[in-house]
Amino acid sequence: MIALLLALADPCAPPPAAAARDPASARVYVEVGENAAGPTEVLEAFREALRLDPSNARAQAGFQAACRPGDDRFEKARARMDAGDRAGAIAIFEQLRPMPAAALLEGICLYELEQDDAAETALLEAQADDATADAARFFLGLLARRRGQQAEAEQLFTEVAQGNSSVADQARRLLKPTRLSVSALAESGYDSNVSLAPTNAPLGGDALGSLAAAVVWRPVEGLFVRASGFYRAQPTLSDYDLGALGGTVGYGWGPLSAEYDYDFVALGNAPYLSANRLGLAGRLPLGAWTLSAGYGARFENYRTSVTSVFSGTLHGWQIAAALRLSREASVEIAYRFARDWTDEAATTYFEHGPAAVLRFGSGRVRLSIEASAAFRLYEAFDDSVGVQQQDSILDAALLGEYDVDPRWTVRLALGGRDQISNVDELTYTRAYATLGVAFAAGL
Amino acid sequence: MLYVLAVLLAASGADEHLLTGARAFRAGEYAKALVEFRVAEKLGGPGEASWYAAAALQKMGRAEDALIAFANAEASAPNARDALLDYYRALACYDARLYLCAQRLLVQVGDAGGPRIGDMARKTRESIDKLFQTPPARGAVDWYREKAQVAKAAKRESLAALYTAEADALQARLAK
Repeated sequence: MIALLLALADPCAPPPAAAARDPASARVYVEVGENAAGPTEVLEAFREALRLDPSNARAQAGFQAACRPGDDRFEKARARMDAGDRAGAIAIFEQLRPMPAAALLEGICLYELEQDDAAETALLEAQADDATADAARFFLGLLARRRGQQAEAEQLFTEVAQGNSSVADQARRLLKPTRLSVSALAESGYDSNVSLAPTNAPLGGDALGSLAAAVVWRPVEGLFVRASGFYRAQPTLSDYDLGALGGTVGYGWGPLSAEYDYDFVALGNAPYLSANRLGLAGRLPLGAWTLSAGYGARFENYRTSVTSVFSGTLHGWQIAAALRLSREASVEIAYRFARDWTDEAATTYFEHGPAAVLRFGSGRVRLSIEASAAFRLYEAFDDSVGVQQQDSILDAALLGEYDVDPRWTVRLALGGRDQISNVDELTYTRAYATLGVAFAAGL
Repeated sequence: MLYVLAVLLAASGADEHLLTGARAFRAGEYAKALVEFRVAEKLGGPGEASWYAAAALQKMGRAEDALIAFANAEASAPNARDALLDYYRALACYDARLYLCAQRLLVQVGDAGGPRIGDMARKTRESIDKLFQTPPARGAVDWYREKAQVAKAAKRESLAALYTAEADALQARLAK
């Protein structure tokens, strides 16, 4: 009697056998138990199977497993995750949350499936518990890096690297600056109005193919040296094939940076322009906002007799404010000023205007839409055009990028310009489209 | 002949388990009820048992599992649905914070499930109406989209569809 009462009270006590064995029904209960998701009905089904047929080995095994101290769902989910069945693992981890370890591993599975938003929610949950905080931060850092939020990623990796968790070494390795990085971009497309002269004068439409490459070397923290090259060929306007070589030395100190660069440009395979430039920039993050300002002075020396009157110093100022709208989207607005002091007053101008860019990035896809306006007023009457030149330049561009893998990116650029000038031949519209492939790698 | 007999025997076995499950359900032994409904389903094929199993899951506090079970039941045995089961389904929606899903089902339930269920359905609808007196937050839409992502990643497509529908409906409200 006492044994019967104990059996009734304890679901894990062996069930009393049924008056008549029923192996067929027991098999159905075993099937139900093996397909059940929750521990209570699993136990219930195997218990009933065992009652109907105490000799059923699967019922015995299922009953014992269901009654094993603790819950083996976590191990089951881990096993599924290890076997690559992330969907199956997520389904079980989801039942186990808010268990921090389950939230962490679910977040990792979701990260691997590129379900970034859901991964972030699970990882933030895991971050709240000391035992899983560092590992969660590490994966949050990887997420931030995938979204292109480099500063946030570095902050998270730094926090992890300061600890002694199992992922601290990996975080340190990721923080170690890449000493040498190379990048290249090959594009082809069409430009309805190739514009290369300093006056922005149009030349006509043509197809184009271009290749750009850059090597960046970071010998010590903060210092970088960059060498870049660019060549653009046009099948019809081949006299205007453009080649450029450049070198930059820069130094970044926290939110401040300074750089010097030199550019040499050839047009139609003949020297066209050489320029030295000094630039200073600073940025101030304020929560979701980032304020920035920059100044650059470019000392330009045009090398052809026609364009030499544009030689001089181009000063540029910019102030900008960027706001992160959501995890995927941000907007930046800026106002730009430029003063080009050339050798002649008729080619000296002041320019100003706003610019805005909306950026969106999710998983492997990035999209940006940019629009700007520049209002340019030349300083003096120009005898060659018969007026004091005044231009309004409206630009819009859309850029879409898809990361095929961490090194290769497909890039589509569409854009247009509407230039309105009080000189008729300088009033024009322009549209262009290019499709390219980019490569980037760090050593 | 033997086949017909076997089918009849299986059907009667299924009914027996359906009744045992119903008794357990009334007694509040929902895990036992769920197992019996699943056994009935195995013996007799999808039907009422599939719906009742979903209701048992709702009673066990496993709203998402219940919603998947309800969706499966609807796909395999659409005619076995009734107002009481819709009420349990609405409660599963409510427990999973799918308030618009719950509201839609509760409107369908109306008084069709009898005066007691009708009264409870009305009260639940009132509490949902109260929730929507203030406009939904943008974060709420994101939360439903994330839940849809998780469900999709776990290959729980019917659940993902419910979360997506809720997010879309909330977004439409936000846009108004």
